Amino acid sequence: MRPYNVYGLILDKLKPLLLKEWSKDKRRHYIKGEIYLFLDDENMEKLGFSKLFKVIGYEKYPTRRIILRYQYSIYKKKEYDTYNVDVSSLDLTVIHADIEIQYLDFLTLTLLATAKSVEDIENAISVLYEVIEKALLNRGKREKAIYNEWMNSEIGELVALHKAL
Amino acid sequence: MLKTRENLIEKIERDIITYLANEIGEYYKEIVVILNDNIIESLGLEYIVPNIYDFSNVGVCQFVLSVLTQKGRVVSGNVYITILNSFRKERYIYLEEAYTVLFLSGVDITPFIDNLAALFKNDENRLEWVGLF
Repeated sequence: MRPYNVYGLILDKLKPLLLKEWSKDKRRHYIKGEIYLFLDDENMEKLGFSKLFKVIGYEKYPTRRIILRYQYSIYKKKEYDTYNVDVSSLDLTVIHADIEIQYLDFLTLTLLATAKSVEDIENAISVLYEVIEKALLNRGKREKAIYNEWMNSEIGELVALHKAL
Repeated sequence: MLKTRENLIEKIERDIITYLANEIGEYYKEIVVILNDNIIESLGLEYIVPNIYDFSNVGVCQFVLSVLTQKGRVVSGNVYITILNSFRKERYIYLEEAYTVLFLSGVDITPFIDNLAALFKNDENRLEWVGLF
């Protein structure tokens, strides 16, 4: 199996989510956004995030939340009288500390290198689909929760108090 | 309530700078210290710089806090670290940005920022004070 086949499997699986996101504003041809993936230990391993940070050389890394940037293009293919909408150029990037890490390339090659069967790859892609779906559905709630977390943190509280005085 | 992620990031970054300025009691300060395991661990640099322990005891780092205020309120600012290793290769990192992203990723950054403030306040082991830098 060649890498672009793994990439193709990921793109095919995520396509309904990506098209749903695009349908919120169909004037866009290029879609870009960021989501918070809430993960447990098992998903961190399955989706290769632990490995990703270790390979780069981080001694410590986040284990609960990952900031993921997605970007992709929409193109319309004319077929007779109708237009078919399709997704291309998907890119997934992990935002960490002061750097951005190309996650989709890493995942594609890791799956290719470690999976024992196509089912293993499909299982991992299903997990990716689930965490991204949840992140897109709960985007507003998660952002609000993180904002509240900051306002209730020691520094957030003290600065708010200082400003009020 | 903040509406966008960019606003949330800007708010957290500004809060970090405000907190540091209040704790340190100055709006501009530079310090140079030896980069050792204690500094790395206490500031959470393991989260921020890959293979950071390779730099331990073979380099120094400079911290700079720079804050812009207007009518006594913090408008903007930054706190950055420059890591200099034995071959004088430099790496600049804006810590308020890095800590903000770490917080958004679920990491407790409060101890790191408290330790950073303490480092700025503590005059011991600062190389420029003993004429070594």
